[in-house]
Amino acid sequence: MPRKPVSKVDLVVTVADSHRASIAEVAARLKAAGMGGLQTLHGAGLITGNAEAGAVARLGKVAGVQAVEASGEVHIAPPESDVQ
Amino acid sequence: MSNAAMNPQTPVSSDTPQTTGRFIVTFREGAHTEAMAALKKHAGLGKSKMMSSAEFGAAGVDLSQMPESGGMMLDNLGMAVVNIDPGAAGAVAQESGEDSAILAIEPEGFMYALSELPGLSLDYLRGFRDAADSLYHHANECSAAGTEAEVAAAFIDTAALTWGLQASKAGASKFSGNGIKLAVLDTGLVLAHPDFAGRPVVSKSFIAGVASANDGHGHGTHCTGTSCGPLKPPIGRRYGCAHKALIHIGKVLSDQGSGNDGGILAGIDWAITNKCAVISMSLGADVPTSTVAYETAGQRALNAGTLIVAAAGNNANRNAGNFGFVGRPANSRSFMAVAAVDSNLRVANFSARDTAHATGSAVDIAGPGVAVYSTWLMPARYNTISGTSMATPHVAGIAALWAEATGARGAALWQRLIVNARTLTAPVADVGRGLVQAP
Repeated sequence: MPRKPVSKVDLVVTVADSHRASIAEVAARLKAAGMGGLQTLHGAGLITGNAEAGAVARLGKVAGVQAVEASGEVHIAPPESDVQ
Repeated sequence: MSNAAMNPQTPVSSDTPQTTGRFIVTFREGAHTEAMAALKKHAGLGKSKMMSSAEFGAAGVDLSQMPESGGMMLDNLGMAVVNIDPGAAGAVAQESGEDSAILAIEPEGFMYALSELPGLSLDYLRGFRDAADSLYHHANECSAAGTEAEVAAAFIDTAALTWGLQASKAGASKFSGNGIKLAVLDTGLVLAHPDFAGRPVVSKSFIAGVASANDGHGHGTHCTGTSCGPLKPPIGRRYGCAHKALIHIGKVLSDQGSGNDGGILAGIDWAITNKCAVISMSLGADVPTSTVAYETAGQRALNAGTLIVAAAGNNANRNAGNFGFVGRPANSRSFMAVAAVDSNLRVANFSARDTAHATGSAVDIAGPGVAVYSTWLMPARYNTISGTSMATPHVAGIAALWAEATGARGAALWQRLIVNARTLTAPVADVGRGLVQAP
């Protein structure tokens, strides 16, 4: 698998209620605006993927986009921990 | 059939609430015609003796116009106020119950504004004072001995049931989650675990490069056991709530216990698409703010009939004066955030408090989350651990029981859990509405 360039960030795009029916078109516009690795989540009305940090502001202006946010990470305690 | 609503043969004791002599009849939803027929048959209340609130329009009903031996139908409520003698009420009560057109018939009580005591006698007030004094002294003695009132509610694992299934009443419920899809988004499930042998499991991995949802950590298997474990485990006590729920396993955390928002949201999306009524998410990050994505996904899930239950977090250390905060994504308004209590129903040392006081950051409900026995990796098979992660699947499994019992989904299911919770003495910021209770 090719290594992802260091400057790319994982993103979660929230599609506006008004554009959920045309989520595929929103995804196409995001791709054209520089977003890669797109995965469309129809049930939740979200699109995940990645882009260079400099492209995030541009993605936020794409028609039908409610929000663009960095994908955070979660961790749970190791198996040997008493508190999980 | 239950006649618990009233029994006119019961002698009236001095502490019986004051009643008006009238009765309130509650009709089953959609059973108006049958209920009216039953009132006619058992209490002689034909249509000619019944008035309807619809006749009064927006001005509202005037109960003084009610016939002396008759009734008033409150159409919007599906209830009637009736003037009948206790014998007739008893006959109606015999025919009432959960499965009947008339759910209940109850004596109408007097209500008073809380600030106005209705002419209490000095004798009554003296008795009240003496009783209060006695309770005060008793409570004082108890606290001097280092015990609290709720210690009387202490639970313990028995040969038959974990303490959590007793405290939440899941172990006594006649419901099983039959026909309800429940998704556990976690580290996966030990797919070959003997306690789940023969149980259909739908699973999917959302971890890049990992094809199977099999659990190599233990956490997800523990949570699945608590929410969906069997009625009669091959060995040991029962530990699972919704023993007939249709298990959906989304592996969104690696065997090392980490994952990212993208995978978790993909898991939520998968559960919505699969029409899961409940999602159990014992995961989170110690971040005090929510995201638009989680807020929106939670709301869309509720709208689609999927309730997301999430762990409030373990970032408190109350013994050291640190109360922590509700982490992401449980701090989303549209996620039900779960705190952990111990077997004495006291807040767990680690259980996060809502210290952010931001919209949605509240703890909504509490579940059993200290010394919780459930399934684990083989060959250990079982493990007893603590955390808001363990409280969460109790709430999720019980949500599946309520979903089966009432047909409620989404926000209506949320409401069922909240209004039926058992009140605790701990603050709302710690335990929300209280301890989750099964139907």
